[in-house]
Amino acid sequence: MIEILFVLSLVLVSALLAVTSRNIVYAVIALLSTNVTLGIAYYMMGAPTVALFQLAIFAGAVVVFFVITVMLTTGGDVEFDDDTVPWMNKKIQLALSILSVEVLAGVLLTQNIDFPFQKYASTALETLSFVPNSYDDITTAVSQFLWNNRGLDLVSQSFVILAAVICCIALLKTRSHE
Amino acid sequence: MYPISFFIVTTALLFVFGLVALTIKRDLVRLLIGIEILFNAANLFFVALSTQNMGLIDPLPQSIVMMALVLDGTVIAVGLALALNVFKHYKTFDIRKLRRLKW
Repeated sequence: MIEILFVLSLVLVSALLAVTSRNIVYAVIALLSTNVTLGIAYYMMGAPTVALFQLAIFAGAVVVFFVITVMLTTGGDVEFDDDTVPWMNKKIQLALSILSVEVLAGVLLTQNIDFPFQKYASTALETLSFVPNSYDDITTAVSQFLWNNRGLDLVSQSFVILAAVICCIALLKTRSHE
Repeated sequence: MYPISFFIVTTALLFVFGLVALTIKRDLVRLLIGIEILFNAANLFFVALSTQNMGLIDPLPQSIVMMALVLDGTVIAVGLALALNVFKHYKTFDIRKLRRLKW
């Protein structure tokens, strides 16, 4: 129990650092830490395939994209004097923080409530749910489910990725008049 | 099986962090970092809810989250390409100076 609390607190601290750090390089490093610790949390929750995708895509590819963007621009030099919009002064930020903490405390106090949306998150088909003996069972079940039931989604997803790659190439290519 | 309250609190805080980044930051790259944190919050909550059946593992939410992860990575990649293009033209990431969106 204590280990998942430790990992989730690491996720929160690194996400907070990613948002509040003034140096963009530090923010990207904190984002990398967020994604890695979130991958560990997924693994501990019994979702090893999701953890693998999280580490490969979010902690790998996306962070590399962020680093390349920072390298190709001005690096850590992009600092604005005033990071806040005028109406979002310190008092409003403090009020929002207190409000969010109060809401979260309320959620914690009512943790024994029976969440009605819980049953919608899992499938109603009892045949899909199973008792896993190891992480290999989970990986096999998820892979089989993906190819047997969501195969069309996977194919469409590959087309979406192809469209995104073409979009990135079109955005980044040098125009002739430049 | 871990208590759902841990994940509710973590997801809510991650969501607040992402919203704060989207609200108060002016840097285009930081806005994308905020969007990625929002993606992480949504995915974490989905996986957390799927592991709440006593000892059972449900492959459907995991496969949906896997596909969502790939698409989120695609969204961030296109957003960063847009940000690079914006920087090439305007020499800034400041969204206040990009209000007009006029080439």
